[in-house]
Amino acid sequence: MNKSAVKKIKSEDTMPNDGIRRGIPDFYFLLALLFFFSGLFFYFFGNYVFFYQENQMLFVFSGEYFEQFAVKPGGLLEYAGNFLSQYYFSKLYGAIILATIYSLLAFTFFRINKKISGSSSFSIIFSVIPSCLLVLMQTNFNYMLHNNLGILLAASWFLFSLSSDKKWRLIVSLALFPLLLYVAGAFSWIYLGMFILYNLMNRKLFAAVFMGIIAFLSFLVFRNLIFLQPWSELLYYPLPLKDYFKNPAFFYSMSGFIILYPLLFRWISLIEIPKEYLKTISVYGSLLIFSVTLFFLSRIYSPATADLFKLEKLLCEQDWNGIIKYQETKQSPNMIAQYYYNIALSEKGVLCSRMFFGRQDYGTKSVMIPWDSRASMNKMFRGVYFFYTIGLINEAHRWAFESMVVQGYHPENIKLLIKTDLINGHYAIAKKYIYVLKKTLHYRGWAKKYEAMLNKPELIKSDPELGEKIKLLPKHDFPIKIKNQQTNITFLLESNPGNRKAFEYKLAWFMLEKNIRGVINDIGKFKEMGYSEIPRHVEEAALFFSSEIGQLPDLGGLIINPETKSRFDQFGNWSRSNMVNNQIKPADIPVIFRNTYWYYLNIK
Amino acid sequence: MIHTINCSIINSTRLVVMKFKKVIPVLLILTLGLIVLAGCKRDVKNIPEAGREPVIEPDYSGVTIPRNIAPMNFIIKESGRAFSVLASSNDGFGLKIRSHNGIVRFPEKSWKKLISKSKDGKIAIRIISEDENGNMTAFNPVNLFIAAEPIDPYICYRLLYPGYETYLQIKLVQRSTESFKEISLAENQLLKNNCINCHSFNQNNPRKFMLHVRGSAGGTYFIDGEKITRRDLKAPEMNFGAVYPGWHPSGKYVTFSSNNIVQSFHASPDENIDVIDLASSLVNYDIEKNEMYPIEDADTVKYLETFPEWSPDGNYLYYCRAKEITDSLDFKNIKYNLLRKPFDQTTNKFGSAELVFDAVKINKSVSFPRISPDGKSLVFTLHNYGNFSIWHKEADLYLLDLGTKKAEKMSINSDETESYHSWSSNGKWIVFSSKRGDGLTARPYFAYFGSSENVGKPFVLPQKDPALYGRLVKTFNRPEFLTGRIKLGPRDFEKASGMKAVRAKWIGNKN
Repeated sequence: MNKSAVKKIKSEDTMPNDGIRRGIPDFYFLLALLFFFSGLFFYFFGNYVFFYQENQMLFVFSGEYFEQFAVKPGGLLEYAGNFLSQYYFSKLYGAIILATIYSLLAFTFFRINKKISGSSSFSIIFSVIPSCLLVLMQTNFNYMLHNNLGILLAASWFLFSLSSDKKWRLIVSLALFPLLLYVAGAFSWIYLGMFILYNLMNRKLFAAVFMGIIAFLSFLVFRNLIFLQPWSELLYYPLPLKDYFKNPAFFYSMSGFIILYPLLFRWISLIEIPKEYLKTISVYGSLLIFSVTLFFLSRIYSPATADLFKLEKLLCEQDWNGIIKYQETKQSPNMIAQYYYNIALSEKGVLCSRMFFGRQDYGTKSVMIPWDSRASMNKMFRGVYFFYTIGLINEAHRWAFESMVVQGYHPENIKLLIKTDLINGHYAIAKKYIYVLKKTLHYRGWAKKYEAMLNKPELIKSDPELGEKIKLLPKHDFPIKIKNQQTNITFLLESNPGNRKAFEYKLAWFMLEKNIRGVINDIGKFKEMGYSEIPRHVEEAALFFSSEIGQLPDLGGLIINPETKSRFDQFGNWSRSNMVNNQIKPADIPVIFRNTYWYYLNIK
Repeated sequence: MIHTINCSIINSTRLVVMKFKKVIPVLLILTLGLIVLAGCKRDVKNIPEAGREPVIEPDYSGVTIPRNIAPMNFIIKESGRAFSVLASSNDGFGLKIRSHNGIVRFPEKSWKKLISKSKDGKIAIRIISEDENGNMTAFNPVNLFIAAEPIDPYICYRLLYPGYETYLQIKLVQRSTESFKEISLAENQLLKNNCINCHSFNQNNPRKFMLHVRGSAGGTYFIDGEKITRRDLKAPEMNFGAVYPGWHPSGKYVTFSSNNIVQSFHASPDENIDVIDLASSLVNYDIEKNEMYPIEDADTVKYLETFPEWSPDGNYLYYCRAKEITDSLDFKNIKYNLLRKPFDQTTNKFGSAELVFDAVKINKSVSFPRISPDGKSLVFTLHNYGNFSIWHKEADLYLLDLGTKKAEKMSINSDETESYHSWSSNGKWIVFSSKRGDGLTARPYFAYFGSSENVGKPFVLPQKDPALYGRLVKTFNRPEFLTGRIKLGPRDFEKASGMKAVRAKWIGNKN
């Protein structure tokens, strides 16, 4: 760029411009469009992000919680993100928060554009690109809210730095960089990149070099004198963790784009558009960007992920009927969805009567999630529900505690810690968790309910949920088998023979591994366990067994439901007439037989 | 001189320090204080007496404290909208505090002064509560007894979640016993997030100690003054790493148990977790020569040997021993006895094992033998089985007279776990881990040890915020006394972790 061009740009920076003034109404229209477009998307389609993120953290109104974040650079940004994320309990609030951030970001970049090249025809279009990138980024549910705030803070601080040529502003920008580094952590590197690039573009070598030196010194002082953090934390925190991003390239590309933004916008501003096309360019250009964003959203958006989180939300709400209905309607092929379905069936006491109404694609793997110390805790935590459901409360407590140690408190682990400690009679420790939960915005009421149970075992026993779990507890001790979970069910049942949930899980396990002999061995116990009828799928197993052996096993005084018998006869007739080479094509099996154990035996 | 105290002072939470002439008897001071507490206009005689002591947390009622202890802040667990507290010595000095939330915090300087003025060895804390209607209730005074012997100025402990398999934040902390100063010594985020294990000091010496770190920053870090040396103590000939340490008083050797450790989780609500040794033996490590050799036993029976502890004269090695089991599920049958072996310091040879305390005979198990600096007494933990007493609710501390070999359960125990313990350098104080607060998290408790017949009621390490223990889920692990402050910090250990861990040489038969 020649000197005259630089002068021209400088003069444009400081005087009102017709072009930009004309563009302002268009921009605000676009801003409104962005607000509604992003808000509606996250309200209707992307709301699983809110559920997931709200469940990944627990904002606590306490000095100790604040202290955890204040001890490292970037912590305050995460703190602010967590503060806002607690409103994600409502998809309306969540959508408004995200839409506001995207709109503010677009507004900030619009102002930045004005400062970089006030007359550019592309100012409006260009200003919404970062927001659209963030919308796309946000479809990754692990992209936490503080990352959006980090980008917004970096851009806002950059806008402040370049909003006038006065010396004091430069001095303030330089002097306050350590503060920015402390507040925004690694997001300040994005600002640093923008600042240095912009100043180099404008041949302000001194400012660029001096800022670089200050950043370097700040980093050294933070590292060696102030914060007890390793180099890697100071360099990366709180950027999105690699663990959660299988492909972080998009995030780094987006960050690169924002760092290069001043340069890219300066280049594109060099393109001159005739005045009569300005409006057309703005309107169609913006529509094009929105269309491209929509296109990518449609490609990235995963209904299966949304379904899984919908199920998980129902699980957290203990809406067992909701889970059963949802899974039987959607028939999700996801293993976790099937695991949740089995949990819900067990909680309703119909595991062996209904489990084949939903898909069982993974055999015994959808019964429980095995402990794996190498797996990420936020995925593995789901395994806790199985133990809680069958009454292995110590093990449920352990999983919840391990989650708390690694992830910090989140609503689900702390609730389980409270419930399991109350069930086990560990009131003093339960009180500590209740104290934490009482200092939150949305779980106060929940905590108070359980606070009333402290030191009151009769109240705990009379609680429908906790009282039921107490009845399922093992009566004597046994060592938990981490690598052989089936043994835990057997041990639990031996320890507490009246535990019907463990009993049904034991039979479900046998059925899923097609161990009919195992089912038959226990079929006679139903009556003594208080069942008035044999669960439907167990009857189906018994009938299948009888067809192979020639007689029914000892049913312990109960009988096979005539409806089941009739259905079995129909299935037998159908299969005899439709079997080709001892094989049945899955697609050929009539719908009426697809929710039977026979279907599972033949097809899976 | 008597400080004039008006009602406006009482109405705030500000603290008023009153200095009286030394000659005024205690009774008069208490009475005067009570008048002030009651609001100047009220006659103390008209305040109804509760006829009992107030409930305070931590429980400091009747405890024996050292003269150099940090302020014993507490929370009043009585109903009332306000409380007036007067802590007074017999020597004309009183500290008055008005609290609206029940939290009582003593300023450090005034607290020190209060103790220094208590020449009869007692502090009386008088509490008056006031309800919503302005009705007052006076409680019987809470007495704290002051021992003449000071406590070591620092303790060191690991602060971490009482977790199972996972861990994230672990730090080694040194904490002043004389103030609330807490200084971080090592933090695992600077050690590549690895686990920081057992720390052990040579005779409470802050300049001579060691700690283990696992994983990529792994090794045993020996500290001599301000120098840190990183060693890899697992010689190729050893089947398992060096785990539980015991310093020889000469500082030349550290004896370790080399253990194969597994964890097991319980299904019963009364139990939680067990840490079991499937194999363990004793090895002796020469720090200067970086040499390791086995401490062999002539007995052909396969034993588990662990928790080495040296007598202060360096002539005996005490340790715990159990018969090895063949089935890991049989872990409830592992019971440790207390034994010792003589050690010839001129030849570095160990003699034959001799039984010191037969725990198996009473169907119990011993862990953590710790000998008093004068060599006369030994405190150990006794529990039902195994050696990981911190997870045993029934674990209690026992005092063994090394002269008579008689052991007695100590009066300092509770219904919850009492486990790791150590002696102060003067042998007059014991610090021990106790889970009496909530059953899950261990706290460091101090007990005065006058003699086997004269053991004071224990008190928990005072905190600036007395409510801290009520909400902290982290545990204080392996509290050890220190005679001074350690001059190193987390960055020193981080730097040392960058050094190569020099592997120990093995001398003798394969382990």
